[in-house]
Amino acid sequence: MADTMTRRPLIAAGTLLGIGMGGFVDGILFHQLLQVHSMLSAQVTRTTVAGLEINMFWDGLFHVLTWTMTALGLALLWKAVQRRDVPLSTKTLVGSMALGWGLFNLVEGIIDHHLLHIHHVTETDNHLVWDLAFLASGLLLIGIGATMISAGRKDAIARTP
Amino acid sequence: MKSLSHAAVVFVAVLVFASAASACPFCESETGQQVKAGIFNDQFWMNVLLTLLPFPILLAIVALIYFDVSWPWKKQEA
Repeated sequence: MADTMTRRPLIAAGTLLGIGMGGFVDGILFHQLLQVHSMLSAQVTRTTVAGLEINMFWDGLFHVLTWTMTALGLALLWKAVQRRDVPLSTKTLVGSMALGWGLFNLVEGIIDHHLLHIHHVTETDNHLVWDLAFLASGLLLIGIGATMISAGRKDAIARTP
Repeated sequence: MKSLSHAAVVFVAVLVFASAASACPFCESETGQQVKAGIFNDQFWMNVLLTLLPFPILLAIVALIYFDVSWPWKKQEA
């Protein structure tokens, strides 16, 4: 057993996975299934075929980035589980993923919805309510994640030599 | 030998995708031209920047976690 244990590699991996998967939730749920917004839907209309296809292109670039975050998260997770000084804690991993998802909602929401106005959660007159609810969901997920990470502090599954 | 086979795979992939792209039946249509003009215009790089912007910030937060960067006032307390 290693003398000093660290959870940071596991937390970083879980956070990246949460960012990537949170991005996929946004892209799949809001962009594709509900179709309430697209990447540049506040700037390029989605009421024409050309407008839809232009937004689809930028949605694709967004998904390239969420895929990259997920892949990087998997790579970090693989490195973390190979280290003896990193305790394998389910609470820490799941909490980190919730933290990452919340960070995604918060950062993406502030930048894209409130600062740049390139899209809103819904492209309607009362979009502010939905935009604020999106930020609130981010804060809630960060809170849940932080609580779970804290609860996993004592988790230390013994690693077989 | 290994790098040669990798190069061959890349070469074949480029050929396959290039032929698919050149055969695109929609690209030359009126809508296809509008889409092309709507994407590859003066705003292209700005739109790339706008789309990518949240991700470096999120990566920086993860880097802070991974490399255990402490706040200056926390270091003073320690």
